[in-house]
Amino acid sequence: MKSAEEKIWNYIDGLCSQEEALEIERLLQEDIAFQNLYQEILSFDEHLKQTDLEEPSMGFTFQVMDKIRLQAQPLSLKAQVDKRIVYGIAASFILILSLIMAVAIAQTNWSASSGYFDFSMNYDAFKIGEGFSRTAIQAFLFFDIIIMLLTADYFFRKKSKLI
Amino acid sequence: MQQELTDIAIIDAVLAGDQQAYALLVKRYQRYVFTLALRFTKGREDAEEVAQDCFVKAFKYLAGYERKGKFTTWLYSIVYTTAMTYLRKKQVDILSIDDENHQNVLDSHEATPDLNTERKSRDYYLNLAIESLLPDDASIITLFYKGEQSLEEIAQIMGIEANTAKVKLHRARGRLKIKLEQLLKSEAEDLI
Repeated sequence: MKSAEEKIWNYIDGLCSQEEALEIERLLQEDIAFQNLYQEILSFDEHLKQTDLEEPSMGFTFQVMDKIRLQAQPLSLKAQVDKRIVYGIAASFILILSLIMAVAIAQTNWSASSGYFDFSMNYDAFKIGEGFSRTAIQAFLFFDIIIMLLTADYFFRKKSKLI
Repeated sequence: MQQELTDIAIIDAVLAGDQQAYALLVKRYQRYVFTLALRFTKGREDAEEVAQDCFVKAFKYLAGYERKGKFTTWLYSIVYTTAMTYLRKKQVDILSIDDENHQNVLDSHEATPDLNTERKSRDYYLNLAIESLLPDDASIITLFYKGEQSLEEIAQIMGIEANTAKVKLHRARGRLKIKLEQLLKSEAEDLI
């Protein structure tokens, strides 16, 4: 449960829900102690907003620009890489990996009648050359799954919003 | 009246080859960057060095700024990373000043003979209290109140979740309030 102080801070920061805001407004009208605490926190917040920034030395900009003269001119990202090329490469990789995964899943025996999970694949389907051994394909698929899980984790984390 | 150039317009000019335009960005944000650096280094000389280093890094990687968020958010994330690296390198004791040291800070300030009324104001003690906080606490307060950064942007700068930033800010303000009360109480006792 949130403390009165925490509720007031959320209210001042505009981070509380409408219900919480109404509850705080009610308390502000009815509860003297709450009102005093609110005034105290509000005054503290105002002081924090009014604090001055520190000033660096007079020659700060000159010193920075002096160091920058020694640096190479930064190139515009547009000049460096065309985004369509990056997306194109990414799409090709995703397509290849999806196809490999689809073939692997289609060939897997999902029934566990034998008592263990049977990942019986037709490795010949992947045999493009002699370099692709059974272990190499298994390791590659395992790596794919890890990458897939990490990507999913990244997207779900990104979606988590402020409560 | 000439309208002030936006950050993006300046960045475009710099990327197009106008190196001098970068000075406008430095002038615009030097106080913010310096203040933030000072929250970590606790010394003006080192803070200047860190702040300058940040502006040089920002120039070097300016093309990497994707323009999805504010330029300041990107710039402050460079400051945060650079300052953290500085702390690790220098092995600065990042522990908050304990009560004894707090008293020493107060004593040293009180010993100054030409301490005028303005400096003795609440603002002066507020700055003193911020200085005595942990770098993380001091920087989150600076970013929120002076850097005009939202909690989501602070989270991005510090590489944490938005909810964690919210909790950190709440705790930092609580600790700052206690520190300020201690300082003011100490001052009041001395005046009696």
